[in-house]
Amino acid sequence: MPLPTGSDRAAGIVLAEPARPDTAGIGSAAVPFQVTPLVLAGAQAGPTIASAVQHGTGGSFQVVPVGHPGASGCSAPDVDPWAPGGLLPGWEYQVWQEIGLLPPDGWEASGTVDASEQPPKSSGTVDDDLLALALDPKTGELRGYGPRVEGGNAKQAFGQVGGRVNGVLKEVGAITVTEGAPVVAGFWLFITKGDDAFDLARRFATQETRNKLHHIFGNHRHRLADIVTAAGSEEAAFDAMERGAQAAFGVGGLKEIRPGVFEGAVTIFGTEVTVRGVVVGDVFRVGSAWR
Amino acid sequence: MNDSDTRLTPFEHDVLRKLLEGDHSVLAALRAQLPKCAVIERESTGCGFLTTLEPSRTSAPAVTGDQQIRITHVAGAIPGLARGAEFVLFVANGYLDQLEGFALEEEWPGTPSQYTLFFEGPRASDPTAIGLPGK
Repeated sequence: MPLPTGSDRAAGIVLAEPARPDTAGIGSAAVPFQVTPLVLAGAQAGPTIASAVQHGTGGSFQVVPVGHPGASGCSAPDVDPWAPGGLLPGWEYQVWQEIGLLPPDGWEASGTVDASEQPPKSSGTVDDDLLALALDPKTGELRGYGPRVEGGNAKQAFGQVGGRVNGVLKEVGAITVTEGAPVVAGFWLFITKGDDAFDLARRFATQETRNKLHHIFGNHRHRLADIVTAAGSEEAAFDAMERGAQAAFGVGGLKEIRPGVFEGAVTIFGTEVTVRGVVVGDVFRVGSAWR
Repeated sequence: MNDSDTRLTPFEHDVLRKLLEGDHSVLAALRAQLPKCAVIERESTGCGFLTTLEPSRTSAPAVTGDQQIRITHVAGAIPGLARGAEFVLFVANGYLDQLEGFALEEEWPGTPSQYTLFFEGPRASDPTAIGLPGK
């Protein structure tokens, strides 16, 4: 499988595997996700992505034109989502390249898929730079991967993340993008400015958290569908919920209904939600929520 | 679901009884629905469970004022759950609708054989404090 080059990389596409009729396996390897309209709009505005399509299962996919105009050798998209006033104002990450969430078995890695492997050392050139991050859905480990050029033939290799992302995980999802032909697919993390993405990424990758998202958002009696729509995904809604609850806890806005268990109302995307959970080490953890 | 599946388990029944304890007209009306209440669906969510109920419509509905209300503030001490469990009863149009239980931190251990149920929050001092007017 060829490495992403030129326009692919500018478009933020990391080739994960060739097209196949049934892509359900891709989606099932990652956490659930939904379209974020802002991001999708950005993708549609990008010059190199013809269209975004949906997998048969697993929900909707989001696409973002990823690129960094300052990246050496990178063919930047016409639309820079991170530019001031751009499509995604305020978003940034320290690694310059695409951020991808990839199932370990979705790559034809010529390198060793080994968490102990050191990431490619950056030489400032495109092919040595950390290209993307991969989240192992089985272990929750976040890894970086990048292409290497050896003897003129690009190869892929996995390694540990070489740097910390300056942002908090905003979205997790998969994409399938038709860029002419063939169809390419990948998994993606979208990262917002300001926090550490790693804990959140791990959290969203665990079965425990996926269960919790299903428990909270999968029950229509909790009446949280509007919030998920407003947030763009269950993960984003849950993140907002926890942040809101944490902020409320910090100012004494939650009531302790029994030792260590707190409850209160937080406003998320303009809607008041009742959250109940535990506080461990001054951190509020949502157990369930409803409105 | 066969007949035994459609019956409340002792655990579900005990949780519902606890949620509906108290001298309040809404609680009393909902309690009266319990004897003929069937289970139409059970789901384990990993961190909890959902038991969807179908009370006999020959029972009188509780006058709740809202299309949907929740009866809450019952918790459980259950072996294996360090922080215990929380329970919520959803009431739709005056009828028992769904019992929800969830663990606060751990995975749900399955139907427990040992448990202690207790009131928390406002109901710890007043079991009728269900957020509805009247008694």
